[in-house]
Amino acid sequence: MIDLKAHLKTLSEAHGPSGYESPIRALVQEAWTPLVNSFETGKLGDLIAVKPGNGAEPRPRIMLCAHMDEIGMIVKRIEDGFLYFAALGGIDARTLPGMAVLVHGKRPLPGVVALPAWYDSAANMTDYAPLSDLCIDLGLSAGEVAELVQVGDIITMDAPVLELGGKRLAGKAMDDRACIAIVTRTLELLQGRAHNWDVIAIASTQEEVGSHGARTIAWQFQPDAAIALDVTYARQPGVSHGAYAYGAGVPVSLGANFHPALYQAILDTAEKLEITTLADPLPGHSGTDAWAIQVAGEGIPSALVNLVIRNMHTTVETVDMGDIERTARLLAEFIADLSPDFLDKLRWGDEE
Amino acid sequence: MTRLELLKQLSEAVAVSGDESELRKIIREQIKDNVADLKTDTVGNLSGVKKGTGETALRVLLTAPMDERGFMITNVGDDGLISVDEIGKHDKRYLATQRVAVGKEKQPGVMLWVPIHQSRATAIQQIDSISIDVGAEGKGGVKAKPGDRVGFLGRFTEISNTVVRGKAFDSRAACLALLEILEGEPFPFDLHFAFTAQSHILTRGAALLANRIQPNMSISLSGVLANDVPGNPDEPEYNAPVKMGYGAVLRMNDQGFTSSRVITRHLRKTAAEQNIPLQIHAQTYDRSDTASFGNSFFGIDAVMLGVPIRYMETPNSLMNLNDLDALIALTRAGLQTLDTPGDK
Repeated sequence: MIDLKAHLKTLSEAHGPSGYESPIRALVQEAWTPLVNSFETGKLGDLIAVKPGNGAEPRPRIMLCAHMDEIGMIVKRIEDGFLYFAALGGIDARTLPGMAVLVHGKRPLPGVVALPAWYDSAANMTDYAPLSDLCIDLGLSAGEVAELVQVGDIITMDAPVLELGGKRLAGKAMDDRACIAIVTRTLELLQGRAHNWDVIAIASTQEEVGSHGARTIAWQFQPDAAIALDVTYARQPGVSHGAYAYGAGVPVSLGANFHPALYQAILDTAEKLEITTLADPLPGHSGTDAWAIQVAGEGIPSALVNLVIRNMHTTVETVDMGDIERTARLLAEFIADLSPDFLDKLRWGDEE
Repeated sequence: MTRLELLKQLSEAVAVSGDESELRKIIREQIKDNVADLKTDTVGNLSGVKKGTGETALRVLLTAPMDERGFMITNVGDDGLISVDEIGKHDKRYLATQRVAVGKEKQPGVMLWVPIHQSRATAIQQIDSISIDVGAEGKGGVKAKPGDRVGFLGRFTEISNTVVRGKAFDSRAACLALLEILEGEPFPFDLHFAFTAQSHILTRGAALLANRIQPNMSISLSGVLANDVPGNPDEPEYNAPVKMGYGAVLRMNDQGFTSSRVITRHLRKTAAEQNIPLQIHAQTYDRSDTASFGNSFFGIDAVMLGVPIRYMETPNSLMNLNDLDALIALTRAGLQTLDTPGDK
């Protein structure tokens, strides 16, 4: 069995923000090589991996999609050796001061996010600074910075994975690389198992800035059904809605973005496996790749399976390895169970 | 062990004010064969004597603080989450999502943060709203209990040839400086030294040493806030008097204390003669460096010498090793060239 914790640590600690995912793609491809038959790289850098089914051709295709990009930053201005920056994706500026970062200039440069000196007046001690007021200190002279960094260079959070008690891992980019790990395990569990449908596993790009990768891949491949995997909120103080406890079960989303028959089929598999599922009500925009996939081409029946995490969009996003393994078991069984005529079942019940 | 390995060990050690045992252990290991009278007093100061050549009978005390800012557990909830109170003054703007070591067993934990999708509150989080998660399902999963301490989980990094990033440099770099001075050539007098405890609790530790050792003079080493980060030309009060990369820092005064005129004059002269880069910190507006507070030993000529540290009150501070070298060089040279009290 693949050491999934080690795999996830490697993914989490690597650097690949939205639009700059190549290092991650290389890692995912390396992990998936023994598990799939072929690879393709999409025009926006998505990794497409195909594990063909065993049924007679033409075989229907199911797409599993988890995004490999992380939120990051981009250098916008350099003054006296200090860098000012903009966000790539939903960066939470309140968590930035003091954060160790890596600036990807001529070489990766470690630095720290700082508040400028004039922020030390009493008036600035009550509220967090907006992102535009923050700067990055590389500990280098202005001349050295001018030599090594330019406007447009990308910046990532620099955080090793921390193991907590009870199989939990805290780190950056668990959103959504913990779900990449779920896909890895799912593919592994399908080794040596017969399944009728082709599986197209996607490590998508640019989800954090609009799901551009998933949108283009769904258009290109037009799978017959798709399951997106993304993180949702774990129970923690102050998180009021849509949160589930670690180990409580697999949240599966319900709402306009999702085909009810696909949703039900996933639940049926879970029941068979005696895996608890949790109904995750998401009435509108799901904020995930599923939103883009559902309306690609003539439309793709979509589902969203979730992994709970605490502290979303920080360097201490916390996941439970048990939840990851459980979700992979559910997905592997679901895919193995897909009959050739499952597509007929994806109907609205008002057709005849 | 190389110098950087030792600095890493010192920086990453967890020794929050009131429980400096991990630091004492490291320090004892380093100097036990080089010094005499090594003892730990009732508040935890680790003191001793570096025997001199006997040329003069000066009683000189050289100190460096061991402790770091941290927290104390006030409650462990049924949900396994930990509440804390602060030890030492933190810059709360830098506390979000910090990684910590909880209790004597240093159980790894993280400070929870309500994600931006669920809350956009801009008010800075106060200490009493912090929840620490060690991955426990319930109370039973937490090894520590109320009264135990929590320290930051530092990650020492060399970010360039000369600049390092890590936590607690204000104490640990000073400790390294003191260790290197103790390993060097003897001075013309017996040098009393102390690695002090509880510097962040109004520097209570230091005063005990004055009472026991009764030095003629003392030099306290510590970090000094370097604020040479983007300033505001309209608010010169906050702009940098102290800069990283510009040498050691001689503090002329602090909130409750004025450095000895005699010794500051001597040190400035020594720095000039030996080409040791030295900055003078004389600003009245001061983000309180409580490490210096209690060194106002009655009737003792005392000075504070420091190394500039950016983001000093945060878990990821920056320091230029050249500045540390300047601090060590100036302290050594200053002590070597001290005349007997009568000559001043």
